[in-house]
Amino acid sequence: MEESKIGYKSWKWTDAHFCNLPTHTLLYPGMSCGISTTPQTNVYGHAKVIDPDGSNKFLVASRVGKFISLEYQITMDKLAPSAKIIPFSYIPAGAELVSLDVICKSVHHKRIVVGVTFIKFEEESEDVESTCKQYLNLYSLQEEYSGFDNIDDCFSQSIDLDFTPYQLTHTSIFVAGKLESVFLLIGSDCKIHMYREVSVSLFLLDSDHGDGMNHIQSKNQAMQQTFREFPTDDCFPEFKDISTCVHWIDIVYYNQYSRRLTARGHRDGGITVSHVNVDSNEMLSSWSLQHDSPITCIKIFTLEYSVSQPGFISQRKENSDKEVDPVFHVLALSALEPAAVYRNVLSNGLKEPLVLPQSNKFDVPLCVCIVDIDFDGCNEIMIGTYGQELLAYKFISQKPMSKSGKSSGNEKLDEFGDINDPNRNRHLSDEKEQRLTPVDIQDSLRSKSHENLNFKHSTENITQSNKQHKQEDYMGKKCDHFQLLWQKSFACPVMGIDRLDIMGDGMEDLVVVTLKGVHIIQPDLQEIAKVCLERMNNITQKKHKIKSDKHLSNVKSVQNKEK
Amino acid sequence: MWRTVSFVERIEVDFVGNLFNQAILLGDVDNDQANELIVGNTEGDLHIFRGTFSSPWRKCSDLGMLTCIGIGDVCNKGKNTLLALTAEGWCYLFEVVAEVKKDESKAETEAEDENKIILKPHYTQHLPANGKSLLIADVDGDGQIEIVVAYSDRVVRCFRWRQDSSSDMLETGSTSSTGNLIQISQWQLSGQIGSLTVNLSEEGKPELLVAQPGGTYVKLCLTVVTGGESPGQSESTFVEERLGSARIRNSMITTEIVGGINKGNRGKAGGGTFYALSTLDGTLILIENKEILWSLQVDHQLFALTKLDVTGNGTEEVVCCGWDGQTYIVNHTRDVVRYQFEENVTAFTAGLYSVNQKDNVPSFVYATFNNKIFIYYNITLPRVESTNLIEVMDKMEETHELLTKLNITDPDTSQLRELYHWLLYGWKPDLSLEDDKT
Repeated sequence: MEESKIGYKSWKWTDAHFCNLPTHTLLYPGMSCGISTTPQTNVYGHAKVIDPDGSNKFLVASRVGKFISLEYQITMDKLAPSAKIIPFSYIPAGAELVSLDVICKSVHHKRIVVGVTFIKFEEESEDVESTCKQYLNLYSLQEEYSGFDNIDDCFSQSIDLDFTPYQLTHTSIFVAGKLESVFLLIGSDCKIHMYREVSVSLFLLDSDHGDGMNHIQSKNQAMQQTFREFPTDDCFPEFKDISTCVHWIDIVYYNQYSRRLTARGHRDGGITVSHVNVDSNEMLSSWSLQHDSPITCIKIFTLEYSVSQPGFISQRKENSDKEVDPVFHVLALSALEPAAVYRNVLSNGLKEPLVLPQSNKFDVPLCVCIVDIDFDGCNEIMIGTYGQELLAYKFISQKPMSKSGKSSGNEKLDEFGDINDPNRNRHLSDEKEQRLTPVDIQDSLRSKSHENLNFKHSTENITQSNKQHKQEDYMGKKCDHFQLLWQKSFACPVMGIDRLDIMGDGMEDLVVVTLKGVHIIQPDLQEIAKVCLERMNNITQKKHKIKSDKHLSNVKSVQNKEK
Repeated sequence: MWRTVSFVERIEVDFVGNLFNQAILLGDVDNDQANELIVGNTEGDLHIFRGTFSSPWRKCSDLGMLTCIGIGDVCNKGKNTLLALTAEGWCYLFEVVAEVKKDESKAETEAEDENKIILKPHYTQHLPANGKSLLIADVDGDGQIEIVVAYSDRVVRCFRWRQDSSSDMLETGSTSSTGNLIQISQWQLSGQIGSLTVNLSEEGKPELLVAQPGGTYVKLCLTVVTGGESPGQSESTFVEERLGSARIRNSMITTEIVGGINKGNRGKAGGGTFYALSTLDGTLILIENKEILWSLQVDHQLFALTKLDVTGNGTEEVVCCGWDGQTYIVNHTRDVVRYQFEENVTAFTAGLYSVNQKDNVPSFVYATFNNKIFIYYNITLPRVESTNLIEVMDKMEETHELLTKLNITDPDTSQLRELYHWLLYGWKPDLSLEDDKT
């Protein structure tokens, strides 16, 4: 009861902080009167930095290669946002930044690797046309890092690219039974390039050192961690034979890293979802579909969001061996069409699309984030659009068919009627002779004799009952839909959304990257606190009940013994 | 670093011409409880905007060089009157009538429509010229509204509306109200006047404060003059207040003052209100009863100072705006929220505005140099300070009780973080708990 009350409450999310991208002086740099502009960012230009200590950061880069790290700090007993400009080295002036990603490694010691791709335009000379070169720069912050303060000491390397870079992302692969984080970079050459970290002796850094697989990972000072490009065939069979340029990839592992789902969105509107057995490195199945406009973003997600109970609440053992395969859905954003969710891809493939209403009403939808924004344990979909809107969608399940079908359900019903147009027309055409479909013409031709007419009536009855049955089926099973929960306007086109507990309080804030800055938005904390208190109250009551039950049973057993 | 926010929802209205910061105002001119925006420019155009319309609802032109606009119960009739003052000394009173809702709108011709929006002053009087700042308030606590005007020659004059005017006063327009403004007091100050304000002293009595250069102010005492037929002869005294602040960098710098800042119900039960001073070189000071509560130094030229309850909690925040559009919202505990308006600002005001003509919402109004005025009407913030869930929960007594009940004593931040994260995201209503196996 309490849950439903909270579930449909729409929280008002407001700006907790807004941070402009660093201004860039275009004319007369160095003078106070210089003309400065705020450079823009793009959809690939941000990443979050997860810290196990809870001091999470958000890194965002502008087109001209200026970086800002956004975090919250407690200074003089007051929580305050802090934005620092991070001077990454070896990014030349005039470079155009394309994408950015961060690998956070926290297994042994806290360590992050920042990857940056950019295009450098070569100076135009008399006989040579202006050319551009592309680079992937990697910065490994080796030591116990405290943010990006010691960025000057980091090990950096630059890799020449012979293609135009697109999205830079990272995932894990299994090498010799060990999980390893790798960078994946989408290229204009219709390939996805993988960069792995290998340990190389410092003396060998410049020579060709091919086999990094068997290399001993020692922390010897003479050894250095460096990134190399590796062929993807060994690890990613799904990346073979890509024919058109990819805009976005999303990779999800499940079942203890034994299975993998990979979704790709292409420039020509194609989407491909591949299911891979990681252990045997073979493709189990693959589904493809063509949209009419370029895919701007693609995301694999689950609707359930589960967090395990903290140990200090109760020492309950999670029966993890009984783990059920999660139900994965794929959300595809394409430039000119409404966003579509393909539900339960593992069993249905890309057959069951659900359209997010009004998602194409605000210019091109650009980015997506899956987050539980109303604290009911179910994920919602956030979509950011170029039309400066942030849209929040909630999945409304109609499985327990109730009387509250509501208008949205009825709309679906109408749609259903349209889908089954032949049936419907047939039904109508009996009453109004004018509207004849080919089937009806056949019927009317056939129904010249009285007998045939009777026959026709009977078949019609059957189809009608069929239709009714189908409709009920539809209402009962398929009437699930996504509902626009709320929307929020921004001053600039929304380029990215991410969820991040940037304040270190356990609640996930939304980080919204617009063309010119970063917003951290959160709901009213007073209201959130009320929810927390209510739930804590609930737990204490339950605990109390358990205790009293135990006490009661103890007393009973004592009494039995006495008897 | 201070917190920054971004406001989006806004109304854009067209208004051509230069305007003074004192000639932009949010207030209820037509006594319908819904606030309008009133602006006047140096060309003599006075426009009233209401709702979401980008064109004026009422307008009046050829008034002269409008320097100040005020709204108040000037005639002590229990009704708001609009007062416009020009540099030439003309003082116009407008009685704006609320729109009568009729369905005969179709019958009206365009010319009639055009006529309807033209506003005419119902009373005009020539006062001393070069008024630069205006205050309509009860400054002496007698229940009668006074009109206080500060002049560019460092003089402050106080007027009061007197019913049953003598015949030699200039009078035009309607005959509905007969009366005139008479001067009841005058002060000669030593420094240029920034602005005027009225503040409630600790005893709950209003006091008239005038900003003086260099971040100082003067308290003007209004001596009640009986039978003051001839204006300017009454004894007027003032007390110069000295603030123990060494932070003022320039003793000649232009200063603004705003008083009557509502303390809210927290803290001491004592009456009175706060007042704030701002200087053009970027100092912002909050004062309670001659004591500086805090001061703030910013590197923006602060020219407009107002107060507004942005959070809706009953206490009023200080709102300050710089020429470059940087706006500061500061609460009583010196927490700051900034907002950067994207253009240079010629005039700024903060107050309540009615978007839907029913209720008033806190709004910021920016007049730009590009003949546009922007009304940001969705600016309510849950709080001024930056805070997180752990801090909010920590302030609630119930939290600590419940934590002890859950056997969580002396929790550290990471434990609380894990707990709250699970409470918010891992919560299932049919949650089953197994107690520790002891």
